[in-house]
Amino acid sequence: MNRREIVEALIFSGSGALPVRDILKALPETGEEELEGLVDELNKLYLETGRSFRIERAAAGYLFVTREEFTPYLRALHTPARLTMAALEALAVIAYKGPCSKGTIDSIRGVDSASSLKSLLKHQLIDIKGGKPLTYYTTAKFLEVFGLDSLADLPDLKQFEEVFREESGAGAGGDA
Amino acid sequence: MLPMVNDPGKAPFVLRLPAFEGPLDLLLYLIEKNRFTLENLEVCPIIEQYLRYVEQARSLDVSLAGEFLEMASYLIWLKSCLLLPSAKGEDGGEEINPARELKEMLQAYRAIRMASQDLNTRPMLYRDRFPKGLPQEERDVASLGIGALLEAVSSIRARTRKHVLNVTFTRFNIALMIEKIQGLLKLKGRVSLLEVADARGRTELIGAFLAVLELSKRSLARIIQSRLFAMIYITGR
Repeated sequence: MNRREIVEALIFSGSGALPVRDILKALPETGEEELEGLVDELNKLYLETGRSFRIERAAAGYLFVTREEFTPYLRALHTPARLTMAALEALAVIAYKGPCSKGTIDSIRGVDSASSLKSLLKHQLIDIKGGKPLTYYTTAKFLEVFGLDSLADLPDLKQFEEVFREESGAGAGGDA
Repeated sequence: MLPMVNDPGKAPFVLRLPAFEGPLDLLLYLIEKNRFTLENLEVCPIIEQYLRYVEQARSLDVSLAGEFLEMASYLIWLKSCLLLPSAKGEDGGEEINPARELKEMLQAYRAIRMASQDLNTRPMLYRDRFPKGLPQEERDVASLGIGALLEAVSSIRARTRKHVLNVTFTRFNIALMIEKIQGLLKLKGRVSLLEVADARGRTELIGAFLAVLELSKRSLARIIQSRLFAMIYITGR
């Protein structure tokens, strides 16, 4: 049997992103790089044969997702997820600063984040770690939803700050 | 989707929609509109515009979140700091710089706001593309974390909350109160209602008053009050 098709079957069987280490456990003689190559081959095959899906890497694993040109049809079937800007802001704070307390999130955003946190918890994008102040952290599902392999894949926060620093140019020196 | 239109000249300050995520969002909007950057920011005009916005919103009965008002009072404080002669400089030691504090706050928020916008532009699962299987199918018990548990507990608590009000209630025995008054009358001949209800609790006073009325009804005591709301005295008959 072809390794490539075994990989396909394994990923197909998973619900959510199937962790790479689980795939490698089922295919002991395969290395991580080889696995990557096999997934690439599968994706090429899907593209050539006009399939409606592809395999994507997220949350240190692989999952099948639909191609974006089919989204309008899928949206008619599944209500698409909606996050408010407030929830996205809270999520960004947790992704970059987490695990962090609600106090930290509120003080960075300058507003109370209770309802945003509730909605993020409901969507399982974040979870709570017990402790003196409860702290919030992003879940594997967060990585899955946003197509990130790990939190290290997030663009550097400094990068965003620097966009403005360059913009201001000469004004970098003193305070008024 | 500009929430406000404001010509820097003398055009009226037109408020369209309070579409801001919070006071920091509004401040950043005002800063951009005035073509300032955080690095060469003039704080005073921004503070004034912010306060004007809040005032306008309140006069239009737009309910503003408490945070907007909190920020307003912070900015008023900040402005007073800027107007007062600077406290720093002696020994070259830098004191707290409130304007810089504000800038740092805005910087941190702006970076997060950009990061959230960046997240929003990523192709999102369940929005831009869909995984195999319905999301509900993934909700097996094992994959739920503490968050879901706490939410469940709080919803159970909310549902089963008992609305019990504990009222401590002392009942005064009028018969005992009558005995007490009669005892006092034997000793002193004349007592005031306040002397009878020496603990001065409201219920006790009412109890004493009822007892006095009862004594009067039974013609065992006489009630004397010189004028309206004056002290009530009880004498024996």
